[in-house]
Amino acid sequence: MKREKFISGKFLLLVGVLGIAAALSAAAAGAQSMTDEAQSIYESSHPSVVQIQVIDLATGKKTSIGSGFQFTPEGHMATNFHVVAEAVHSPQRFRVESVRHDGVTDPVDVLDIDVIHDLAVIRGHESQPTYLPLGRPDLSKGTRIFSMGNPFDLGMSIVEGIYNGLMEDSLYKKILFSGSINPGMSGGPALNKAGEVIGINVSTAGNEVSFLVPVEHLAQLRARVPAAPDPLGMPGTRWKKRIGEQLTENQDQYVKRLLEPDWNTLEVGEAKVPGELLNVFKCWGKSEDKEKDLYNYAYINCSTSDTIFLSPGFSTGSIVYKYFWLASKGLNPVQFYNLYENHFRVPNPYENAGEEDVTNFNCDNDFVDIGGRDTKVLWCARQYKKFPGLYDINLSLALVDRNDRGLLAEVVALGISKANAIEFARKFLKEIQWQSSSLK
Amino acid sequence: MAKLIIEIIHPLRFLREYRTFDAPQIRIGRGYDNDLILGDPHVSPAHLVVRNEEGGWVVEDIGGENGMYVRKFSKVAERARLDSGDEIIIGRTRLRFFSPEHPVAATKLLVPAHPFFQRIEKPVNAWSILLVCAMIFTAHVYMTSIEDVSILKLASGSLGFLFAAFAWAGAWAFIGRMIQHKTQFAAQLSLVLLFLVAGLMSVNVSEYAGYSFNSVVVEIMFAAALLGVLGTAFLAGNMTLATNVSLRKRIAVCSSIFLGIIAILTLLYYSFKDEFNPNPMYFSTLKPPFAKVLPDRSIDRFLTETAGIFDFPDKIKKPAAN
Repeated sequence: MKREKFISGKFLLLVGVLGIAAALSAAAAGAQSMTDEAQSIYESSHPSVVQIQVIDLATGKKTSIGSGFQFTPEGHMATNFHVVAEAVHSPQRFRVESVRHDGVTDPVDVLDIDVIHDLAVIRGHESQPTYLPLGRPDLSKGTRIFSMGNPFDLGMSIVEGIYNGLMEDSLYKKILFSGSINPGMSGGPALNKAGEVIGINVSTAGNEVSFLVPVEHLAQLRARVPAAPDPLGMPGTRWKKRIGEQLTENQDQYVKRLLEPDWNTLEVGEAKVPGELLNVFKCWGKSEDKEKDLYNYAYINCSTSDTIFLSPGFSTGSIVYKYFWLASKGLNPVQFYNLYENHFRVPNPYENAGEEDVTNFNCDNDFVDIGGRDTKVLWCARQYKKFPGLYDINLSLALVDRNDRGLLAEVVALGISKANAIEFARKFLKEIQWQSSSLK
Repeated sequence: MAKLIIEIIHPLRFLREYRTFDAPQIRIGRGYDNDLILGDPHVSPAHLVVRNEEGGWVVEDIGGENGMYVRKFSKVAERARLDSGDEIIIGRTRLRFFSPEHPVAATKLLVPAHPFFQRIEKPVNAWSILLVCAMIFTAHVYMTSIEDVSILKLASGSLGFLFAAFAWAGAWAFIGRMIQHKTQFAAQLSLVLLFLVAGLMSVNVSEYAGYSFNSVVVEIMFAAALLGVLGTAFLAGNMTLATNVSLRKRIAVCSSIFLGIIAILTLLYYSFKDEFNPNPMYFSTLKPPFAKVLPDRSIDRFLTETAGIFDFPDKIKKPAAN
């Protein structure tokens, strides 16, 4: 149907037609043996894979969907935390159901969660005999693996793709899966050829760039799940405490890892500043020096690709820092500082949280001696309303002892404790050095 | 025979005319046979008779159509005894009756304008002020520009200030024309230009003060104090040139305008203070090195002293247990 539509399109480019034709023929030639493999894996696995629905109690309709799978004989099922997050936060407004391959709907309880790795262990009321065994994640890059789930509520599907190892620039290593994971497949299993679970579908960056949670995190979470669930279920306040504990513990470990090693440095203008603190940080840079402009600049932005999903519109866990070196080519000091101030004025946009989740920022500022030179340092913090020991912070500084050049730096850390924020800021500020050679 | 003076007052309360009568009986109405003929269509052809009785004056309504109001009783009367200074309303017309002995206020002496106003009114001075201020505005535009722009572009950038000054001075000149019968546009314009220049300087001074003392509160205090005093003084100057209001009233009016503005801004600040803002509102002013007067803190001391940013009022609501 789709192909006919394409070809009958009036404005279809020739290149497009050729491209599609080439792709189709290649797929047809190479896919025969693999298709059989996928077919047999689907046949043996699909009774263990379910669709997860979050039902709004007020309307009785589903508000979000995902996938899940049974992985123990006792009936434990796994899915993503983000699939069931609403029901975890507001159990009085939502309930979770699984829909099995035979269409049977079964209400499920959330037994435990791991917000850091976006996992949840759930269990239905009726147990089933079939389950998917957890495998070992010792695959080599290029191995063909299979992901199952129910994309867009269209029906249970299996997707072939390539295992591409663990993501390098991430604190919470995920498996890079070159295959299409689409909304609704979250929480579904990724299987090796033996039909063992090696990962859990979690997210996609589009164009066959998808991510899986390595299966060992599920095994760790399973080990923590109590044998008998709380007969009253877990009320929202206790989940909140649990999430708070996980976040606090995680940022403690994270900041400890950050503070331990000697940091490598970057050069921006006359400044030597912290570079890629751990191998999980990636820095990008840009500079401009236009003929007609009376100034030039260099810009470096470092960040990790990690965010921890907490609820729709609320995520945390990332650290970003950026540098901006600005030098004048003929502006007088007052003009230069107007320009400099305009760049300083715009903070990193905070889009990770809303009014229910965080307070407004508190800020303070002062002149600080950094590496023997005068800087203006501002810093701001806002508290997480549901997790009061955690803060989002912003540390911004501007070198202010030269008439014609300056360095702006900004550090953004999300979901960090006060003590860790202060220690991180201390180390960060103390690491900044200046190359004296070019000083007057 | 006592003379009687009748003051005819316009409905808008300004004096229309005085008439002096020297007769035992004065007839007032719209008809042409009256002693005092009124054009007001709400007055009867024969409306009032004022008679001298027993050494005093008595007024009597003989028309009866729209009645007569005695101001001091503020009710309809048919007959009333008049004291000097009494006011009577017939139709839409007010009449005030005086005896020749009625005391009058002391003569208002003509006061020459303050030498400052005389000076800025002189064309040569006004032109000089205009020129100097235009140059200062141009310099301001130059200092805030970050591109290599021609002097013409800079000058045109300062036109906004000049237009604002002309509009403001024009408004006050018009008021002066109406009230004092004196336009004094040059003086008004000079005054406004001087205010704009002084205001621009105060804003800059406040920014530098806030930056140097690390406090947006210092900046706002400086700006409010400087602009408040300047604004009051210059507005009072505008009023002096354009109106007859006494100095005390001028100061009272002008300062209450500025206090009112501050009050409204404070109210707005407090009503929007707790609105959620996803981004930090930090004090981002940066000034060249010469503006730094306070010594640097060490990193450790800075982090200790600013740890208060992590203190939040503990008003997190406990969700109901479920």
